Amino acid sequence: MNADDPKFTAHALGELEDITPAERAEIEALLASDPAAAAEAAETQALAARLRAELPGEAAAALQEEQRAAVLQAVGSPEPVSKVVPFPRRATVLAALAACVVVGLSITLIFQALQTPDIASLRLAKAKAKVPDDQVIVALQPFTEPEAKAPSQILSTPAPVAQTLQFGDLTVDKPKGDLANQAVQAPPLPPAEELGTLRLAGSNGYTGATTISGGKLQSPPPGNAPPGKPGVPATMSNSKPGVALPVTAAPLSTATGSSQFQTAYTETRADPAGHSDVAWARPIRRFHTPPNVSRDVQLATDAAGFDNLAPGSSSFDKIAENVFLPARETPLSTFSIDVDTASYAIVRRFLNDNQRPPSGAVRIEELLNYFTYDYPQPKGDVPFSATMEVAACPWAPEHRLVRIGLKGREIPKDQRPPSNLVFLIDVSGSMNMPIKLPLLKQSLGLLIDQLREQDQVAIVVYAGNSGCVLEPTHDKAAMREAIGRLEAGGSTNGASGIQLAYQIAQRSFIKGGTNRVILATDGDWNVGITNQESLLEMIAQKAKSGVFLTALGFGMDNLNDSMLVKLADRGNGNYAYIDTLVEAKKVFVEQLSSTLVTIAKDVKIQVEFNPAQVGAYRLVGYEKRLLAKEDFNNDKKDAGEIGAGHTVTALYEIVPAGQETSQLAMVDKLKYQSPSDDASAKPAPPSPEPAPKDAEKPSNPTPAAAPAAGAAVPLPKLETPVSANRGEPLPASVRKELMTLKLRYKAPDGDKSKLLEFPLTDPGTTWEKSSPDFRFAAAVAGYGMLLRDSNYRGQATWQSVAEWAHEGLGPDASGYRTEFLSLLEKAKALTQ
Amino acid sequence: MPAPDTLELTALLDRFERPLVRYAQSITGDLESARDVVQETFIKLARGGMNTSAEGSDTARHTEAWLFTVTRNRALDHQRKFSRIIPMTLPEDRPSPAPGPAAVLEQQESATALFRLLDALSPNQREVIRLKFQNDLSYREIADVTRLSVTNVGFLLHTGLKKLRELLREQAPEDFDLSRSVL
Repeated sequence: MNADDPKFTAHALGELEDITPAERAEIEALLASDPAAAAEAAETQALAARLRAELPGEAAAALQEEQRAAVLQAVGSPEPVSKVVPFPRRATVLAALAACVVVGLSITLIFQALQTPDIASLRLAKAKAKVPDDQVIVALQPFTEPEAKAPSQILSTPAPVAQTLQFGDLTVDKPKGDLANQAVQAPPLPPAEELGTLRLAGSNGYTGATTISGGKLQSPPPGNAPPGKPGVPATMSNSKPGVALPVTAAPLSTATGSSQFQTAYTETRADPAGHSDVAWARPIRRFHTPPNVSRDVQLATDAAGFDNLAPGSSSFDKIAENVFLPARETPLSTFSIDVDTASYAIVRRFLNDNQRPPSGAVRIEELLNYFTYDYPQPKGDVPFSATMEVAACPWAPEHRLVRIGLKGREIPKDQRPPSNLVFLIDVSGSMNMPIKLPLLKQSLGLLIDQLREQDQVAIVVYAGNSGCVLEPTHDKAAMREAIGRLEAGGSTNGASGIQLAYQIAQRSFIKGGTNRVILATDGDWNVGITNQESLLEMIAQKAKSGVFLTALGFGMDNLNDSMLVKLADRGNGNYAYIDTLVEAKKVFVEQLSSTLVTIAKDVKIQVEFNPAQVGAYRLVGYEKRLLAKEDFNNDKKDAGEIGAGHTVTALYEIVPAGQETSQLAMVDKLKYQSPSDDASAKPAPPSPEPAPKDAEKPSNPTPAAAPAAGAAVPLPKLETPVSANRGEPLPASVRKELMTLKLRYKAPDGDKSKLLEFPLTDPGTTWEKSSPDFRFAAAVAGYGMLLRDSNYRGQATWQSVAEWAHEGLGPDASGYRTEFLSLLEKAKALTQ
Repeated sequence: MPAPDTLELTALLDRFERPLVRYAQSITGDLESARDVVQETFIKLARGGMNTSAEGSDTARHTEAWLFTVTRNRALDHQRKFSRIIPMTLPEDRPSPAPGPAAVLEQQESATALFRLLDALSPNQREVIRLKFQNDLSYREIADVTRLSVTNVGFLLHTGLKKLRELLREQAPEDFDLSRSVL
């Protein structure tokens, strides 16, 4: 018997039940004779006392009143046949943050770092494929006068449809007063005035297909809530057909107060158990648990519940895909832009390791935005241009596919504002792998090469402790030396390091410059859940001071993807995953300006669909970026940033009006109000067979309902829509419009948003006539859907996706698109 | 214990709903499904789902163990059903009047040091430590709930506490004045 025997501990804890008298005597003899053992026992007892004192203090939520009521109602009733009705779930952020995940990834990903196909060799392959490089260069130059120069030299297709909306020549009169902020209290104002008319570049010359009837720049509209739906809370419906909720008098009080919160953080959730009748409406946000588990003694106990944990796991939030939403019931689709690209590199890493990525790692918007597309440079003062194109949807030819493209203004290298960068580098023990710290050092070396005299760098490291290893300096040699000295060791305490980094960044703030903390980590933070939430809050706070964040993910064994996504999101930042030096080069050399220089922040997109033309729509990807329709006009609501030269692409799959679809998300008929209740607010008379109207639902493709199982829902075609304002029939040209794109953005240092609007009419373009970029984007979306095993992949196969990508390859100066082709091959081999 | 009456049930709810929700949440990872799980557990109890077991004269203790066992099984079922990935326990937010982020950080440095260290343990170590010290179950009760052997439970607690002591010493040597925190 010694102090290392479990019985010894049991004895110290006073657990004498299963200790034999002989053992007890032995232990007590040991305690009497061996001071070290006695000290151990005392230590154990002290720890036990502390645990007893502190653990019960952990917050413990009670059941909800309804749930208690249901329990008490069940007294004495026989064991039921039916299952317990799940109660409406509150999608509170706290509950979400409580979730902590370990994805069951079984390791082995580690030491194959730099094996991604070399871009250079891909280039070579491409050169063999007879794509002359000079043409490449020409093609990549932004064309500033698209109306004068048809892009035939760029696009080999005879009739390109890419529609360019320039809003450069606007004279923007700032609306008087701070309408946006007063919006809630303000008395109703007349409809937004038209302050200027867009000059439409390229609408006549070379397309002839898309009609654009003129954009408007509007002052912020009066009032946040759309007319006719005052104060309707965005409750999450969670109904199961045929089962009445055993609700007593208690109201669902949780819904009203936090509606905005809920809608903002809601994701639909695919139900693997096939409960398609249950509409999940709550966030699946999970945090990573520290990987120490893997280093832990793995016990040989094989008890139930302990067997599914793979040691060393990365953490990816689940994504439930956006569903088709009826344009008539939910005409507005609202989301924040996203310029993160990490998902593409993460997926690439999995594929190169011959593993299929978990579907949570496949974020289609990040795949789309990994590539740059040939969108025109903005003109005038507006920081970005918008482009729309619509053609047949390749994976569902009876549907239409709309591509929305934004492009941030390019800033030439020499005009980049001075940078104040603070590298915040994780040097904890887990970073001690070839694809982590060494790659990180090389990557930052690339960045330092790009810096100029006016740029300054400080370096903060964190592990068990954090410290500043390089005070802000302009001296590149000092930077390189400090980077060279970095070594990994110790545990990770990211929180204090982040604070220090922001402090330094604020201290050496360059007004009008780029102020940015660049966090490089595997995201493996041993911080508790509360700390994570307050950390995010702190970052959001710091972002307001003008210091933005870039999150760089490294490694794969325990990458905390979900944490880095959130950090970048809240910190007005971007998130890239560095799997190879080639990727580092993309982020730090080729797209350095995009990475560093933010040209507009809180960029939100709201699309209004015309139910006369659109039966249903589905936003492809952007599940994590959905906003409530009210958030669009709410300048307090944070959204994504766009960097210099960034391109942002979003796709909508559209079911034309009158077509049937079996995939439409429908909700049950409302119990307390008839659909005609708010007909006054609708631009059209109620249709003969009105679909139930769910006014409470957020406008975007958030969850409230899962696709109705198999039932084809006829989409009523509207007759003559009338103007929402005057009750007069809309002009024919407006009735033909498919949708209107609305954008809001703020200057990087501003806090008031500007609004831009562009209508789009579908010219009926066929797939064959679509532009190469359109095809390539469709291929990337198809790739994502196939990897995710999406229900919406339709006719997409690896074969067809590869064909689309080939058709859309274009000049591909950078070689990334060619690399995509090789990834398609890998994915195809892996999934078949 | 046969099906309890409303009074008994209310008393049991009052006493155990919070510990059970917390425990379920440590398995499911989110509060709402934890609540569902506990609701189901209590409904099963209300309907007389708990077999009157001959063994164990202490019916109150027996009921407690039963509640934890059913909660645990349902929570694990829930996890298997809804997630390919099993979240591990993390402390839920502790009640706080939401001070500023920086203040929160500092304050939590000490307050949640222990919880953070718990995160470093293996899930099963963490679970037995919770059951032992948060819910005051005996080795045997823990064994019943987790379907581990008493020896296994003893081993998990032994290694878990040992690890915790090491971590405490390593992370905050100056704080390792256990006698102080006992008070």
